[in-house]
Amino acid sequence: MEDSTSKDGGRPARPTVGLFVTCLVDLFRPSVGFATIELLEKAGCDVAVPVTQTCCGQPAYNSGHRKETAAIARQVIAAFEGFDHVVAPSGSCAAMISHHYPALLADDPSWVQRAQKLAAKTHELTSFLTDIVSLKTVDAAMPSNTTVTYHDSCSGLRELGIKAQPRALLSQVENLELREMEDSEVCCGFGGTFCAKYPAISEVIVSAKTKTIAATDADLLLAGDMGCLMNMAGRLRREGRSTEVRHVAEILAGMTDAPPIAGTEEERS
Amino acid sequence: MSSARKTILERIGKAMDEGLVPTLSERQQGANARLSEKKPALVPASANVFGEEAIALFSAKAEAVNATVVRISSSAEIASAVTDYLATKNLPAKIRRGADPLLDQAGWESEPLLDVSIGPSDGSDIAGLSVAASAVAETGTLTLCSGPENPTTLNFLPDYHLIVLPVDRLHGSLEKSLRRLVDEATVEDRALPRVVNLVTGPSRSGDVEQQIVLGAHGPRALHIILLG
Amino acid sequence: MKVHSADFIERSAEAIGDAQLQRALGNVRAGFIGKRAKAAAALPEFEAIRDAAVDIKNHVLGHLDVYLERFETNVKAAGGHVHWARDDDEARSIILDICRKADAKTVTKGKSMLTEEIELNAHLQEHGIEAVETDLGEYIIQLRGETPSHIIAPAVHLNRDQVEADFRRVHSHLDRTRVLDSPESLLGEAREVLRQRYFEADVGITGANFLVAETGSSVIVTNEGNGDLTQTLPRVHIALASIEKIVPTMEDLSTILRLLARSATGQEMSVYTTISTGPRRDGDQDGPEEYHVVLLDNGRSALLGTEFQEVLRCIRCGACMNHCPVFHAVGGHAYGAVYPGPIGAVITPALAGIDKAGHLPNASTFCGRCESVCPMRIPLPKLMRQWREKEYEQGYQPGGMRRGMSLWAFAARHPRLYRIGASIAAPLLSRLGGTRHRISRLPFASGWTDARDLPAPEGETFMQAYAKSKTRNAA
Ligand code: SF4
Repeated sequence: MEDSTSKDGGRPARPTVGLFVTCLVDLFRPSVGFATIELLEKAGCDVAVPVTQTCCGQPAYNSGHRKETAAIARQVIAAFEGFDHVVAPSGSCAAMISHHYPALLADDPSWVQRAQKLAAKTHELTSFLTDIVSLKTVDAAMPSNTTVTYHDSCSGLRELGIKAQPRALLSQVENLELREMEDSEVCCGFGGTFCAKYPAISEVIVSAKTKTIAATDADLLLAGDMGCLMNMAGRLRREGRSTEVRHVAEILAGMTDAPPIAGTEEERS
Repeated sequence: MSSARKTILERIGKAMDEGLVPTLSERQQGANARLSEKKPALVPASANVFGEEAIALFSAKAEAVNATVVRISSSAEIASAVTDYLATKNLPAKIRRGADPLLDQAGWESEPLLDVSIGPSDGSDIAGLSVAASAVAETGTLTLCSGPENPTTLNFLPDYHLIVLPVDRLHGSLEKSLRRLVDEATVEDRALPRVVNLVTGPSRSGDVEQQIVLGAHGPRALHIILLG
Repeated sequence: MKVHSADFIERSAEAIGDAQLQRALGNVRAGFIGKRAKAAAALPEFEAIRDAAVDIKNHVLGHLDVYLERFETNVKAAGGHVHWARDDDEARSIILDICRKADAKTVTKGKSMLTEEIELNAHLQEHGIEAVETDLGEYIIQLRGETPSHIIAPAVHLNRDQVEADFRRVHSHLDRTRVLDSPESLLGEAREVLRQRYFEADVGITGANFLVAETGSSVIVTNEGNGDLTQTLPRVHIALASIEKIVPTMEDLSTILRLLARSATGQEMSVYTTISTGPRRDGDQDGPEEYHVVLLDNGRSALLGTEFQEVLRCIRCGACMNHCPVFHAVGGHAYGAVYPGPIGAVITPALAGIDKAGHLPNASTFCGRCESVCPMRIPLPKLMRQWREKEYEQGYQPGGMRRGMSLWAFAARHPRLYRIGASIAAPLLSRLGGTRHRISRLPFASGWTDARDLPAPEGETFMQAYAKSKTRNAA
């Protein structure tokens, strides 16, 4: 970790973390943002939330709008490069910054280095908590015995290698039993704009997913990316299944006051 | 169509000149170096086997792909190994074989009831016998070289294919096996044999519902007679 | 190459509604994935060999002209012929010409996607030459008048009862009471019927998985042995290969062979790897008297030195489509092109134009599983994204999509504006969600709500709520 002692010596300084909220958390699930802050502070970080952030630009990037995305990337770099670390409660947005910004700005000599520097200190939340700051104890408990199943979101899994980290953290949560679903590494069919452009195909893919989720008979589905969570939650509710859905950060922070994503089955009218 | 040749090579050359490997002479050097070096890129450690260990690995791998393996100690036992195999399969005592010199001293005289004929197959033979040029322990693969003494049709047309492999022709890795063949075949600027067949188990197909069925267009069974 | 990719949406809808197809596609998920994973795990050096193979192919692409000339020289030295074809048209003419000189009535064919690319069978047929496919899968789809739906398992879209019906229809000379309900009996029947055809054929046409520069050899990799009978029994053998199939040496061939079968079917080696060099030699009692290699460019050289060059490393193993959730959902025919799946989504726009194939690189969730299993480490999602960029730059992106995304990107670059928009949308949608916290129908998001509920926002945006919590804490 850089900057482990403060300038006046002695007492170790708290690393500063810029929270990259992500557009979906901002709009749909503020609880995840607060849970993330809670976890980062518990891990000894000073958290700040730059107000000039909007989105990482991935929807535009994956739609072929490269120039516009580069402009968004410059804005994110400028807003976040002053922190020791940047953390996002999303593998997909973290990978956008850490993997794709440097490639996106490769031809821009005045920005490429800044992009690389930011890339090197940008992390997905569960990976940051395990690989970078090693949060000692999660210190969370489910109110009652709960079985959960975990979906490995594609970007986090394949671009960032996130697989063991959330499971290691969840294993510390009391009253929680992890029950793996079959094919947890298979895409849920969200794919950003994909689900809007090819809804019929997306439906086939997400239906296969909800089937494997339901087969575990778990009470709760967790994942680390809002896009996938909204997709799977929306489909589970539509199918009338009872599995509740939350972002992994909510459980790790013990912040489960908000109703689950897309509500609960009982609330179905 | 020599103009097609010219256009294609020019298109490639242009792409190269614009950024890949700059000059033609550099490209020639690069290619020549690789062709003369003939360096194996990365041979798996498991292929680094010799002697009995190689034989054991070869046999295990061949059996894993549904071949059967027996071992004999001298070429005079080949004929009886053939008869035994045909008998266990309930096949007529009849074999079509090539004229490989190794099969001259195969003990045919000790198997008077075995009907042996020599030459390529016309599709009417039930069992064929070949001699392997080499073999690869890492995958249980046999290497068969075409030629007057080992007609290729014997490898594919008979339902049952029997192959004699002298154990001193067994190599650990595919690289070694192929390199030996090329070195032996291309002395005095000769080309490789018309065809080199690498055979790993009997033929099969998974084209109906992805279920593997043995005996597609080639042999239904492969029997390996290890010699030595 | 004809493509029908513009109808991708209609074709995929049809595929999704086709119960037979959906049942058959289950075999892709169930079969290939586990076998590949097991084979890869059993070879400790697998990942390192992938790196080595990438190096080999990159080296080849960087020296391609030199290797092609070397290959040609060595084929000729072994008594073979080399023909060069700039495009599909030239390749078809060259092959027809060889067949005519051989006075061919029938040709047998080993499995070759490249002959599909140049639509060879139809061309030969038009000129009075019957082309008989001999690979079981290819044979089945030829009987049905279909194209392959998968590059290594052409009939993977079919179930056995469909194959049985076709065999009964076409093999009408056989006993009608025969039992034909298992893969074994179907294979047995095809074997018998095709045996005769091999002997009748005047020319055998195969593809080539590799061309070895050092020896002037073409290499085919099969499991059935049909390719070998195809190239051994007729008087003339033609191997059709695209120019990027070169490997320099036998060592390089060995390295890539370790990946091919493992990635494709999970085998360590396919049953037959056949290295062919020139025609029948003096004293040989079998084998073709003529050996021809047709080297086809058809758009490949135009990819060299471009941002799409990496696709030329492809060894056509099929792993990318075997692991693709979109392929699993719609199968190969929906793509409307010769090469389906992720590799097809990258190659088809190159061969046919992005204006005709725009759907293909768009119809991907970018889940990245294709890239993670591609033995040649081709960054398929990246290449698909590059096609999306080209589509946008060249003005082929559908208007609604283009404008919507531009508007959104504009907002994303103006944080204050974005904030305002978000703080209006969030409570609005939240109210729509009511006490159920989800929205069942939303007109402008029907793509989403047709299949699933839309989770409702909690209320305020995070940024609003965070600002409030800050002031509270300060007070
Ligand atoms: S792109 Fe890769 S995975 Fe797909 S067919 Fe080619 S080599 Fe195989």
